[in-house]
Amino acid sequence: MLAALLAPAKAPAVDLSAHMSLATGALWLGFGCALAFFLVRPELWRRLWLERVDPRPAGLFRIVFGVVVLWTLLDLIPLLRFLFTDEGLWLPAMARKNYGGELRRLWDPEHGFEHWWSVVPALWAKFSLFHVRADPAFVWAVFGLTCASVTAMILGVKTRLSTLLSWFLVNTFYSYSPVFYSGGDTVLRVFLFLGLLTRWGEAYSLDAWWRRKRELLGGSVVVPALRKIPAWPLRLMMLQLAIIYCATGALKSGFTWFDGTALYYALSLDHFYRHPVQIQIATFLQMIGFLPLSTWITKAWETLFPLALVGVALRRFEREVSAGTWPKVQAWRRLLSYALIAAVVGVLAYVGGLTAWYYYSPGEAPVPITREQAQALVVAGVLAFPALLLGAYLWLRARRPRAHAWVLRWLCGKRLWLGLGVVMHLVIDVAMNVGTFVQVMLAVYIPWLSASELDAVWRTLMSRPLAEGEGNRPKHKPGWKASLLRPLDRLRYRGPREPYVVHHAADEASIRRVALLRMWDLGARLRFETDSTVSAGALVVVAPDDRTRQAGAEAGRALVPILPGFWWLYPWCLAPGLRTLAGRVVLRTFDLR
Amino acid sequence: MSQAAEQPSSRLADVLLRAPAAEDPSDERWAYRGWAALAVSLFVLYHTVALLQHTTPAAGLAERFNRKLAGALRAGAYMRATSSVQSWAMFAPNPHRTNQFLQVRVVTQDGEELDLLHDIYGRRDYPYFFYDRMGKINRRLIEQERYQSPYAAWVCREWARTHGGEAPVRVNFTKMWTKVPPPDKAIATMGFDPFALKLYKEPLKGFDCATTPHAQLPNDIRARYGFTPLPDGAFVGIEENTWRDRADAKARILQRRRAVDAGRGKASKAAEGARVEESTLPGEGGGAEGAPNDEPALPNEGGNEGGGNDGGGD
Repeated sequence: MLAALLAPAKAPAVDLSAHMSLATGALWLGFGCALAFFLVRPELWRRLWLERVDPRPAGLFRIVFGVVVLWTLLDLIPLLRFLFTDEGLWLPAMARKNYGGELRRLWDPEHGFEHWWSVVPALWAKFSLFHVRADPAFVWAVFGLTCASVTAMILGVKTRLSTLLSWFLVNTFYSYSPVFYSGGDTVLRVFLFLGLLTRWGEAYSLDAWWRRKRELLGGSVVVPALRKIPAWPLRLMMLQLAIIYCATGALKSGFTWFDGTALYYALSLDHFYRHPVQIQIATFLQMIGFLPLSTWITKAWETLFPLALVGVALRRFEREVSAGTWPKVQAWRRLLSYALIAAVVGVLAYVGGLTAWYYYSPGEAPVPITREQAQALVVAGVLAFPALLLGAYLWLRARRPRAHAWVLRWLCGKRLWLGLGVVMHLVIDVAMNVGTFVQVMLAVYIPWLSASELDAVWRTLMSRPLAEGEGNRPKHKPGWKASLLRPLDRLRYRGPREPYVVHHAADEASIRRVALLRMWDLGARLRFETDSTVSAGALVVVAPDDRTRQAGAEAGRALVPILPGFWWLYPWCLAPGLRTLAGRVVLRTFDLR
Repeated sequence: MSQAAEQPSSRLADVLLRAPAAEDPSDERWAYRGWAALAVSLFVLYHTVALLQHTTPAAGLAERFNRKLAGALRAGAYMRATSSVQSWAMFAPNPHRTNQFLQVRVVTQDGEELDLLHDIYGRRDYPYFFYDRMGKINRRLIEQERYQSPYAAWVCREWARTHGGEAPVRVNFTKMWTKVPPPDKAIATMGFDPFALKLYKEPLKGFDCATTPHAQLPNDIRARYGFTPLPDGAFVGIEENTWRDRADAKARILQRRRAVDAGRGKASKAAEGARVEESTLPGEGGGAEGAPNDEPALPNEGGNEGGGNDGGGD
């Protein structure tokens, strides 16, 4: 299939009939070989899809992605009447006829569905409630319900059900008509479906909290653990992101992406720039070569993004090999699997070569070679490239361990591919207004994180920068170099902050309630001390920066900065009247006083 | 509290408050076993192949393979059903090099032509903080002409809704555009003023509010606002071809056939007599039997069944 990418997007009409059957047969053969690979090596398939993983990245993704979905919905409010009601762009009959899928045939405005079971095929195709009814009151009611279900999904209340409802209702808006779509909307729709398949309510959700709280207060002798979830929906999300970037990179085949002017034009378009003054900046950046370089980096980064997937797989392989857990298989299975991979590469080389033969124009090419030579070059290239890549990797692994580690950590590492993505999207957001595209793209990076990486994020957020000379942070001589390095060092060299000390009574009920706090303490900032002066069911908190003992609502309020689940209460704490209320909300959550 | 009571509490405090967080007690590495593993594997395989097929260009020598694979998997239907239809041609193959705007004007009953200011040219407030989808929709009207007629129809309806139910005469569109200067020209002047660029204009096809489908404010919306209903036949609808329309059409065809058969039968009777009539009628099947009496029943009973079969086969 990837061979299709070799064919130019807008190629002149060429008669391919002489080789079409052969190429089709070859591609079927390649497809069969790819499937057979996993039949021969089922242990790889199991590792790829059927593992159980920590639910925290999925839980965080649910929250961040859900907030972006809600934000996108709220953004639609000014256009709700125009886009979705019968007083807007479409009368429902027209919208139904153009975009109603099977509904237009199965449903009649006067007589309803043809059969009771016609609902099923109508739902299976593109379906929007507004194709059936679109008066403003109904549309607003559905909008309210959609926001409510997305909010429930974010909070993790009846998560599977609220996700299903959110998916259905959000698509009621998107399926009505595509006239308002942007790239971000497509990402949002696609990932919402994958979210539907994910058990993303097992962490950072009220569902999980209520379950664990029930177990702990009911007599559990350990703090109940989070339940692991199937990995395959998260892996599908990673694949989906790789496809998005690779496809968009490959489709950027116009001359502006090669002569380095694409970003200059994109930044100069009236529809996107935040302020016309940016045009002067874009022109300057183009003049000094920054934008041309960024253009080429963008294209290369997008097209090659699947390398990030390769990196994930390689690091996993190396980790398991070092741990001795990588499965050992019989030699015949290993050799057969290699042969199948070679066959797939062979098919791609064959079809690629034919494509070159058909589409290569000797007259227009920069290098004077014949079609046959072009064909041979492509075949040799497609065969040699993976072989060279594999050979180089094995050589580095055997002979240059440091370079090998660098390849794994950087060249194929998440820090390069996702880090570059974060920078690129943040620059886009500063320079261009593309709706919630940037936010949704950054949200879908979260499934790439492992639980340990997420833990490190919380620890970093809750840590403090080490002073110069403290711990392993170097002390630089004063000067411009030290000034430049200081912000980087502050990010890099960090240590734990002083803990918040929670004093509690010694009875079992108090201990169990106080132990509930640990489930919210993501940065491990709490230390617990039994205190005979504290009454049962109460709490006294001593914050590191304020040695006074806080009790009651003040104790609850003191905990807000270190429990991320309550950060939404932070603005409340600034208002005098609401400050006490916020503290009480925290304490009530743990049944404490 | 006695010392004996304190000790278990102290142990509990150690476990619950100081021990490392517990891991999922299930030591099962795999999420599924047996049939469940097979079912999930098949779904993952299906989704992955459908996704790759859907996002790979069906061009060149891979075209037939791509088409056959899509057909075998019914990938299009699956992607639509799961709302996973996707295309990633962002700024591809090139970013636009022109700023395009569609000026929308309305001709009122008095003959006055008014610019409705739907395009963003020179009208956007800077800094541009809040995303304006109308700007994108306005540009899309130029890029995809199929939206122009529904948009004009909406302009007619909206004008009527906000002007006491009185529709305008016509909606006119003008395509406007400016060309982003190539970098070498912009560098020579160190940038450019986007509103000082030459504005090109090209009138596009206009739409009459009386004849464009759905350009008339329908009676149910007129009733909402207390407007007088449209005169009979003033609303220009569209053909929907629902199951009911097809059933009605089928009933009409049947009726015509029966009328033709009946006429042919009479002619045959006159020409050849009753013996010939008996030998020809059974060939038409039961449908012809009692046709005149079935006619009123078609919409409710027989019509439903006929329409159902017809629709299901489409």
